Amino acid sequence: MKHFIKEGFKPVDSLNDPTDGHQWSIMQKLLLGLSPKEYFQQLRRNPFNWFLFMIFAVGLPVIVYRYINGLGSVMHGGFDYPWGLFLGFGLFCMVPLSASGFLLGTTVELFGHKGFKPILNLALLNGLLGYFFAVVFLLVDLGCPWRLYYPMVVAWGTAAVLFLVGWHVATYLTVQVLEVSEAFFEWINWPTAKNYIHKGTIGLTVAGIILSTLHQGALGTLLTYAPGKVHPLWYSAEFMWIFFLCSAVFAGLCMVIAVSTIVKKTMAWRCGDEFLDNLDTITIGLAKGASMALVTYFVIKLIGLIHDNQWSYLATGWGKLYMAEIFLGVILPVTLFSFGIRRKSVGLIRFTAFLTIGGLLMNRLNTVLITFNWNLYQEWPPLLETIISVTIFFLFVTVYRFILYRLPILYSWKTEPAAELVSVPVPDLADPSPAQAKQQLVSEMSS
Amino acid sequence: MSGISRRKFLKSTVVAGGSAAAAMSSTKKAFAMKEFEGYPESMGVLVDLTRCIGCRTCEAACNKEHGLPEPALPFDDFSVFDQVFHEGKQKRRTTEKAYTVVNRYETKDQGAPVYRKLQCFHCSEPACLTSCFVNAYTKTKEGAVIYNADVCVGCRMCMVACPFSMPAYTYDSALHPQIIKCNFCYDSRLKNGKPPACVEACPQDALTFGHRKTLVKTAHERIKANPKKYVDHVYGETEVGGTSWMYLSSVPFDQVDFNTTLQHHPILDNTKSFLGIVPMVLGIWPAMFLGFHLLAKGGKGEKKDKESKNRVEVQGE
Amino acid sequence: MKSRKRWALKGTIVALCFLVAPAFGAGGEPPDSVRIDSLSHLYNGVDFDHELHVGVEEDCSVCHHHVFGNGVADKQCARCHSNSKGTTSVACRDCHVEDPFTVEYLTKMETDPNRYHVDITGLKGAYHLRCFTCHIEMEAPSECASCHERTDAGDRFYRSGKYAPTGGGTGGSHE
Repeated sequence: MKHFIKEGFKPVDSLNDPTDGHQWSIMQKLLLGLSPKEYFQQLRRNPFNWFLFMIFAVGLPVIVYRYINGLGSVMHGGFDYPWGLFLGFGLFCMVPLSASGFLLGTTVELFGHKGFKPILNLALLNGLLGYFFAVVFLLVDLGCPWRLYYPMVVAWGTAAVLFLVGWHVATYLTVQVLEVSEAFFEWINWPTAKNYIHKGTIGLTVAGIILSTLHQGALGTLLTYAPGKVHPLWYSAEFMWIFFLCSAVFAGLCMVIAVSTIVKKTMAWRCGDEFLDNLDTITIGLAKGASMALVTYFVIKLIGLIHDNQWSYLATGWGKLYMAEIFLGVILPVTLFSFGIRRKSVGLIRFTAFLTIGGLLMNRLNTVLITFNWNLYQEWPPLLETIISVTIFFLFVTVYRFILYRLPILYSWKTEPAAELVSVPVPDLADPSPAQAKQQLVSEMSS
Repeated sequence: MSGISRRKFLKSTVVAGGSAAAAMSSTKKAFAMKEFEGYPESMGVLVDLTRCIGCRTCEAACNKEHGLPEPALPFDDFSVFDQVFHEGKQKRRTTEKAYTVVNRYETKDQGAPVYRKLQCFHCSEPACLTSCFVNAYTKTKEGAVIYNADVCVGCRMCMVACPFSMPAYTYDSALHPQIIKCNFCYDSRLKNGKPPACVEACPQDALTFGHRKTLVKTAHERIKANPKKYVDHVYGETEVGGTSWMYLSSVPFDQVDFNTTLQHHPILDNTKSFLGIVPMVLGIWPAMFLGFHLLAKGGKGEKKDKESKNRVEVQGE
Repeated sequence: MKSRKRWALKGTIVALCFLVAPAFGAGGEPPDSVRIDSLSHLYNGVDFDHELHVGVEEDCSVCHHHVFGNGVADKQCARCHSNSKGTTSVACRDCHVEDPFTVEYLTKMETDPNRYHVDITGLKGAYHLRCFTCHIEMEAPSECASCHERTDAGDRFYRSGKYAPTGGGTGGSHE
């Protein structure tokens, strides 16, 4: 792609082809405005595509193998370790890393911090895809994936925390689809639908906060079903939900920093000026939010430790792992973030965001897999399980990239030079008039 | 410019209210169960480890009763007692082919080996049941915890939740994977007023079948009559809120692989504090965050808002 | 499958039809041998050599508790039964019932306010608990087959002998 950009190529970012004024067809939009030949040329040229191809060439057959031969053929199939990487990573890690959607939605739409607007769409998409692929992981992990809808339709286990998780993830996924669909409707040029969704933004955002608060917390509460199995240092009957909710806050924010970093490095051609110009300021802002959440998290973790009087465990081997996790995933990030924020060193902040994500992965995997059954025996995910998990993760990356290439997530969609002046300013939600004006313009244009 | 319109406000409130009502119903059951003390007519089994001689007749009877797959070794082969797994950290356990197993323990407190039979404990408030999001489990009034494979989605939450790690899963089945565990012979015997097959087969009366309430008394009477013989504890009387299968032992329970660190109230209680906040979040969050929204709007004022809009416009150009 | 279960049921019922030597009242002569058939579908009956065991253990109360009215060795029992009179029936099965877990029996045990002994082992349990304890103490034979020979049905039940599994493996939880 970089080759074409160097040659002066401009990917589709508007309703009409600026050279001849014709509307882009869906096919042209899908190919970013390249001819099919050119498109495949750039596909072949990018080494990352070959890397993805290799992963899928190995991973997809393994997934097929799992459906033919049952879970036991790819998982360790232990009765003491019913959950492996699929849930330990796919559900327990992907969901907190996808908290970005509701966090920035709240910041921008509810609290009116328009400064974060350029990254809002990325945060929403990150949320949507994270949840969607958590469900994909679930489809691999469930014994009977074809019964995924059972808790919704067939049998209601209403007292179960998992029931709440299931319903909320499903509802929240819908909310996020609606939130992201605004960009999609813009891209396929269906302004009526876009405006209709836009009117519900506040409702969707509030629903997002409610559902996120509850199911992020509920994921933590799931583990209170296994008090003896989760190591006491990672367990707290009272605070489990707040640990998970609070860590989801910094995880979601750091994920946005991390993804925006990768995006800026690898697909700057796709980023709009508004995104690129504001990114450093936004990153520092996100880092401030993340460090507040990290400090809060550290404090409540400490309270948890004191409340359950777990000091004696710190001296054990598990205690060392716990302290390593807290140091690498909480204390060090807070320190580095505060340095980065004070010196406005965006590079340091970006590095720290990756570190924090590492810390979160460590926390979730420690809780669900590594220290699980700490007084029994340890079991490690076998090769095929790891391959499937990696494959699905890169499927996530591929879909993520595919959408970023096309939908107006990183750039703003240009409808018409004249309309641009009116529509580029962030339309005020409370006031329907700009949207109406735009709609009029659009209808005029299309007629 | 003056905040959100009334119609929008109403709309979002209705959405939030609707979901609140849905979640209220989800917590109602949890609250209602607060005072549940087990079914009064619940049956149970008292396992007296001092009587067990490790003959494995119960295993054979169970296998026959439920038509389970052929075992790897005959039921009179006692070499199974020497089997250990996971670098010696685990003895035999219940599997998808065995609802019950007997293990042998050489303990430091007693010269003769102690044998322990293992099967589903049939908790009074089972964690498997309360953690299942499709209600695949039922605690019958007779005391059995039974499982319905027809609604099971296969999330294996019950296996995570079971404090005794009893449920096994047929991981190798691609089309009909299901949980496998002891069902107290509910369908074939218990509901007809008969004891489970293992109890009937036990030559030593190590397994005593009866009403759970009576068995608790019996257990304490046995300890009272023979205080030197028994450890003064009835395992399962209060563990995780009480279980239908209870144990008496001559050696401390942790020496025969019982988890002696279990809580003495139902596992369900652990989730109650969270489930309690669910309706609160659903009730308070919408109004609170809409309030914040209005405050944020109002605080900035129209002028400021316009300014920020202009700024973006400038950047856009 | 179903017929096999039914067969098992019938077998169990048949097995529980005991053929214990006729009860003899207090003052009667002890029998020389007692036929015990409680597990007769899995094991052949046992001809219990009563005379031999009387020679080994002279204190009848070890097995017969207080029923002869001449004191009882167990201190716990002696608290009530040191001076109690002999009873009219002294055979094991007169107190230890064949099937101690029927609804009727459990109800009887639980609802009778005048009953002290509610935790009475079944007949099969009483035999085994008594026999095993002494046999192990006295280092007498204590294998199942040292008292009763296993039948073909027993072999099938235990999946042993000619019914032994052929699949191989060790039967562990994770192989």
